[in-house]
Amino acid sequence: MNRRFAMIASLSLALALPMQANALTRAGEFLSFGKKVADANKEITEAEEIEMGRGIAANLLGAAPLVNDPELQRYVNRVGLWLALQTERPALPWRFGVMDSPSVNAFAMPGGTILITRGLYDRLRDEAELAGVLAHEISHVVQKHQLAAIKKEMGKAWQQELAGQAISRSNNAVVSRFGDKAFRAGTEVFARGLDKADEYQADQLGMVVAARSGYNPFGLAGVLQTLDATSAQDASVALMFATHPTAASRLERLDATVGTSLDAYAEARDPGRLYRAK
Amino acid sequence: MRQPLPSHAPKRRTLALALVAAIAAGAAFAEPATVLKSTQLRRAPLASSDVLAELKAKQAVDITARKGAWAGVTTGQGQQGWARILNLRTGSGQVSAAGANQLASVFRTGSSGTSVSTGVKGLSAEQLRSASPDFNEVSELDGFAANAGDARQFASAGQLQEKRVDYLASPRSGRRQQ
Repeated sequence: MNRRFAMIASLSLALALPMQANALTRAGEFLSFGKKVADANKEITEAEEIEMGRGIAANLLGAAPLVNDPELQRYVNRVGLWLALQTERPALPWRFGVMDSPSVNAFAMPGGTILITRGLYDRLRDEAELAGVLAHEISHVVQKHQLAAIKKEMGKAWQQELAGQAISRSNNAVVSRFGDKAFRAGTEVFARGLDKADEYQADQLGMVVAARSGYNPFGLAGVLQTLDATSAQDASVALMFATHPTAASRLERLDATVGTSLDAYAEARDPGRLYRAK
Repeated sequence: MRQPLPSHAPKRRTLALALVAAIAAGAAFAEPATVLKSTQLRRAPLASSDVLAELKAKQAVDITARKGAWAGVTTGQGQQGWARILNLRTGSGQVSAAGANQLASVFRTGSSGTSVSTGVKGLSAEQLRSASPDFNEVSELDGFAANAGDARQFASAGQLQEKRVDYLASPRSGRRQQ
């Protein structure tokens, strides 16, 4: 049995090596629109997903920059990466930032850039609640919810651009393939929101990710109650409320789907070190 | 500290003490809440704990604490105990829910998906659409990134323990796949 395993291992190694050596030229061929690009439905590569997310992040940060508090930014990056490491996409270049805006909202870009507003951050009670918010956003990235929504938003443009009509406009692979349409579509997705089903799913998966990371998974429930207590007339929640199912319906959905199944992790002690932004 | 004072205390004194306690405790005000779905009021935050009362849907309670899957609550009759946190909402019931829905529909029925402007500072849909990209901020964000070693050390400093937890089976099978 060991021998057979060794043979398979060496075989796959032999197959893998030349492929790795070719990876760069292959990527080059693909980006310079070799024959394969005719397949308009082809998914974009992970590298492109990351670049696309960075372009959309640039748009959001153009609307509201990062809070000028390096300690805060490093703190959320540590909490965020710890959570992301417990998911199926631990190796993405995860970035977490707090935006200087009184609005209450959070955004997940394709490829692992996550932004939360100061308005939301300042309302958090403890680190488990921060973990609840970040794990929800991380789950959107893991499930590629925004990517799917961008593709849908771009409609025909996605296929046309993917089929090579935007060749070599720029050194940026995504710009050269999509023009800045993808960035605009990505921003539009945040202005309009995802499917409700995606939000409910991210709540549910996020609670599991928080539990895996040693946090009380019910931190998210505290955040949802904070949102629920905020009047719909309050302008700081206008965009968040317009793009998400109501907080009460999210609590009800979690009760129906998660119920008591994560109770075993609920006793996790909060680290008690939520950083208060300057 | 988070426990409300006994109701037989003189009113004025209660108020003064409550104020002092509230100031001392920061965010530890009692939060008005509504029961979403009928549920049990238990003596302790444990599913096996004694049932003190049945809470009915739409009943008003105050949340005085949060602990794991539970919220410490006080009923209108002054009875204290614990209820499942997912069975409580903090919005003012129908009024708020309807308000949110109305607002959402204003946004969604705007011509060709464009939204109304909220007219205040903050991130509106319009502000997102009209923003010009700032790639310097993206680079700055890169500078704050953690690496896996950092994150693990940070977790262990906070006594966070990694656990194996499977995703729960979703009642909605066959998610939208592109």
